[in-house]
Amino acid sequence: MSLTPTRAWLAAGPLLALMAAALLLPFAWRSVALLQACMGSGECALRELWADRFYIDAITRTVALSAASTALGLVLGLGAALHLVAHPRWEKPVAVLAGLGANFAGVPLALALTLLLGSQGVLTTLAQKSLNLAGLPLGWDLNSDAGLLLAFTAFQLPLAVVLLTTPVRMLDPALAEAAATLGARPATYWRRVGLPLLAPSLVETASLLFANAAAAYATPFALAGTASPVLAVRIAAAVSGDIFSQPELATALSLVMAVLLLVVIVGGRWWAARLRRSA
Amino acid sequence: MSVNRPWRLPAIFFWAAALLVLLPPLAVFAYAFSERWDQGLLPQGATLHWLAGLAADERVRGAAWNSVWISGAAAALAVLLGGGASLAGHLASPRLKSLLDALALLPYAIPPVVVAIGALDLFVGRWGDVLDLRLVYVGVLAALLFPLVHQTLSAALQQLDARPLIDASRTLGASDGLLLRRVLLPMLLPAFAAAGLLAWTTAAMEFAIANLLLAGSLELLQPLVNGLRGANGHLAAALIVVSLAIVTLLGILVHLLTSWRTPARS
Repeated sequence: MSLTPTRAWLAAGPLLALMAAALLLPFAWRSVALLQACMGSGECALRELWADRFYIDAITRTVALSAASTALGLVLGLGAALHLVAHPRWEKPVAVLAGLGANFAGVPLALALTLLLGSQGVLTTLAQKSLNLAGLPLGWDLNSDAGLLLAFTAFQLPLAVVLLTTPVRMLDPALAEAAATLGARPATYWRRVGLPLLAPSLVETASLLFANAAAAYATPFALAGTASPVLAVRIAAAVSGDIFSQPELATALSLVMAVLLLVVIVGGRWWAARLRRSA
Repeated sequence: MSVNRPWRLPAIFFWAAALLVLLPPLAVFAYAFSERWDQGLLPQGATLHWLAGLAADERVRGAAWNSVWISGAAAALAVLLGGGASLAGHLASPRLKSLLDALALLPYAIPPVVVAIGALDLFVGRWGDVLDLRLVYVGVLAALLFPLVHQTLSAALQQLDARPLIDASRTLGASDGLLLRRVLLPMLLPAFAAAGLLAWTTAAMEFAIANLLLAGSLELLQPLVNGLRGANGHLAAALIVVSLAIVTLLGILVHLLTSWRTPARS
């Protein structure tokens, strides 16, 4: 027997069928029905969506939250990756910690943050006591946008470090030494040499981090339940909500989410490829 | 500013990141092993009470067992179908390989929540009479796990550099089946094991689809932990500690398996 391309496609057949049946079929099924309704003269959930401030707010919040947590994750992750490459003895503990962090997202993270920073949390109480001495109120709420941003950043960081360590390691250390010998400060070296060289990897990592945040369901749901203002929770709440089921609305929202994620991922890959070619 | 002064920014970011990633698990750990934690900065009264409570709890044992077997089935399916396809693409068809690379991005574009509500409508609402819910969950989860399997195997195959091996075996007149059985699969065994373990642990910690698709019919670990939080936070914390300890140990095993046979760079 020899491994021909035809046999390779046959061997991949079951997987292709599974991906089509489990991921594409249920999504396409609903989306096509929705788009048909919108093309015709019937009721269109997409049009209803645009008219409703509540859902527009969920979309803009999700985009802003994902962008902000991506930016924070990228900056902190890049710094951590630089330190890690310069101090290889931390590599093994960081690999274990990153694995732990990846699995800690969702319900465990929500419990931990409630313990630390919830309304009765240890750190909240401590801050409250010290602020009371100064006669100041504490304006902290874990379910606010700032709280959500903290939670999102916590689960973005392990992924950012894992994705950025390899490209940072590929960076030639002789370049930084040469720049330093010529009198360039670290900031100058990074602005003129380091960051432009890393740009394609940074763009790719950013698009994956953004998609990771925008799709996150478990963490915001475990923190605030169905009241959570992010898109993924809104989608789920539209079909399994407390009041009544709105499947068309859920489909419209998932279509928005899929288009958003597709643009970010494909756009990120395209941009990174362009940067690599021009480098 | 002196040029020779060491640049401290990366170290600050590194420790800030470490704090943000380490503090939440530590808090859960402390809560799981203490009587109470509502006075002051530190928890009070070290105890194994909650840990013992887990073992005695019928519901916890049931959910743990459900999670183990159902995520194991999804991981096995993902490795069997995904691993076979990935191997075939790498060895015999570059076009198939690029299709698989693109398919591996699909779960990022169609996230679990979207998959779950689609499956709820089609597989439960319409075909629910003929389809078993557990089977639907295993299938959907296996499809979402494919990227993990594909990436792990792709990295191993790239490192292995199978092309010269295939050419050599064909020159010597061996069939591709023999090469696959006697050379490639044994060499890729650690990668397959790593992919399987990674898929298994990821599936066992899955929440979104379990919560939306299986709620009310089959209780899994993550939804149970979420439900327990309100009733007894200490017990929920203990359950998280135990499951994370197991997952982290398996993760270290994955790390060892993937660095297997990697020649040390000097």
